[in-house]
Amino acid sequence: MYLVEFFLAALISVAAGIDRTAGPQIMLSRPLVVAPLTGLALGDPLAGLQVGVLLELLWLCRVPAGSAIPPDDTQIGVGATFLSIVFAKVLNADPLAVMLFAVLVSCLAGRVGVFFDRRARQGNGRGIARIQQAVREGILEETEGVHLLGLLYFALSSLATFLVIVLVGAVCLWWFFPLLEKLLLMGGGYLKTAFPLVGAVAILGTLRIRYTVTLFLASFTSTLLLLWYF
Amino acid sequence: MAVVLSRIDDRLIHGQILEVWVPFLNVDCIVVANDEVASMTLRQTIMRAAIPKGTRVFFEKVAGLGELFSRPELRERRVLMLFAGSGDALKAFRLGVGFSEVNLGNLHADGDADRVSCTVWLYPEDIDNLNALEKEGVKVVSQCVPSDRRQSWKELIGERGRKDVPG
Amino acid sequence: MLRAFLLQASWNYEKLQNLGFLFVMAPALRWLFREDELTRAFARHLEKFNTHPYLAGPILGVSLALEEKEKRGEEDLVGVEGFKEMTMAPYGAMGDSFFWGALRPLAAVFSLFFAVRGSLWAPVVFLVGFNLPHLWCRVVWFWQGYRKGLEMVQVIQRFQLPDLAIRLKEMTVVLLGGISAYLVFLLTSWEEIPPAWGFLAVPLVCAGVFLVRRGFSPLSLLVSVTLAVFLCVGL
Repeated sequence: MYLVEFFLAALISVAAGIDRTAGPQIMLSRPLVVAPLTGLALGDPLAGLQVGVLLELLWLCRVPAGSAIPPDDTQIGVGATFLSIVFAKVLNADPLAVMLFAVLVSCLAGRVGVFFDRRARQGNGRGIARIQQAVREGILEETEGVHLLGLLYFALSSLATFLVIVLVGAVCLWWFFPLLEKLLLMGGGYLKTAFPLVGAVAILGTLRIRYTVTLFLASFTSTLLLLWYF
Repeated sequence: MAVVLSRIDDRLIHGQILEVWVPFLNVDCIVVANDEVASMTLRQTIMRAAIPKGTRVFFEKVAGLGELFSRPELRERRVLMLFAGSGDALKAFRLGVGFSEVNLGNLHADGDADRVSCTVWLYPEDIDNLNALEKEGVKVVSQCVPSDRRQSWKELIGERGRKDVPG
Repeated sequence: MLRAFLLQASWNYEKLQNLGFLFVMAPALRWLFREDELTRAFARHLEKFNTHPYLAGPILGVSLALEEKEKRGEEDLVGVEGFKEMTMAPYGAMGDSFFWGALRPLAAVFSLFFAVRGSLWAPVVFLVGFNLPHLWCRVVWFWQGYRKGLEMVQVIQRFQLPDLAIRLKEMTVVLLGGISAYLVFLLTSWEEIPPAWGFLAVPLVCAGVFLVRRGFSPLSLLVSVTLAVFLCVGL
């Protein structure tokens, strides 16, 4: 039933989720890191790496400006890796096709992460109100406790996001994958290239320096010509 | 000289301004109209550290804005003007600094101010100031970043008004 | 001062990182102050605070130095509250543009070169490339801030992070062009079509950038591209 795999992935999801906002932010939470890590735990690091490549660029430059929260690509990475490794075995289908489908569904399901994240932050808001009252009365002992409670909130929010992704993903894979399998097999190569390219586009669209597009095109063209020539 | 955006924002120089508005509007000059900052080099050093060389920045007292804008080096610039509060904006407008619209960005407050949106708290005197600005023909718009919906501040007040009605 | 790594745990909408800042300072405050003074110090650090988590390092360091001065009864140009108040927004902006906007994309795109070749070194390269400057800022600048006090402000200005950020962004874009070309080239050899078709990616990318700047989210773009591919191979 892949229970061990599930718990391993859930563990990574929580650890990376804490690193994402609440914790040290040493970037364990980037898809390119967390997906191969999940893959390693489930016995197929290369599949994880592939998921990481597909996802890494998409929300890379979404700077959380002020209070806006970008989609949780950490949980999407963990969830998609878990789904693609497990379901490639369960459905006994082409791993690439399963992976592409899993990544796509995870991206869509991952939007709920924003909701859970917001709940965690609201929970923290309540804690602060309590501490302010306490400090006004001269009671200081609780301060650290409430702060660390924040860690728990963020951990729970990550886990919840992960669960939703896995659940939605599993249901979709089970019902819809067979319908799309042929298309995914045929378009697999194109999609595999298209995902990171969409990511590159997203970055170019958000990075605002002078001549962004010109620089990109110059580099793109010269590299392609070089590769073609040799 | 063209003031492409005047904004009331108590955080003055911060991420939303530098990362979003400046590139979005192609701003190449920021004017921080604030009496306190204009008289404190330490604060200016801190703010300057966050602004790339290509963007000019001026720190000026609100009363000195007229003189600043008459300088020749500002003539060809696209200017973003920042106020820390509604009072400063009104004062600047009355002193003849021309702008037809003012953007309500961040105004944080404690105590008896009303929270009218995620990032805006208004004291009664803020409401008076903004009303006075509207009366002189300045549109007051609330929009944190360009991708947010533009909202007239009246809408925000209206929302809050409805919530306050008992029953 | 390991606590600095947990700065953001209690991030909240009202006061942002205030409790986090207090959490980091608490042991030092307990050591410096007693009784009423301590309560006042705690209350002082519950004021609203929000900056970039990495650049909080120097702010924490300087704040600590200022608290010690306060304890000795000396006065500096500004008090600790004033200092936090005036640094948080500009440093937040600087950190966002440098770490999130420039260094992270560069490290990620660079390590993608390893990743597309199926090398498991990719995550390692990314982590090292990003975290060396990051940890340096956090740890070294924290101590410098503590030792130098308010002078730290000039040290940071000398680094010209925003200009460095622009350079890094340019490098990112160039690398991104290279990696995209490589991916497209792989695709053409995989599907056994002549590489010249790869130049079709150019107008597609331009159209995509246009859409993203119009406010299209990457997710909707992804879905539409997938549907388009399905349509093409389906026919």
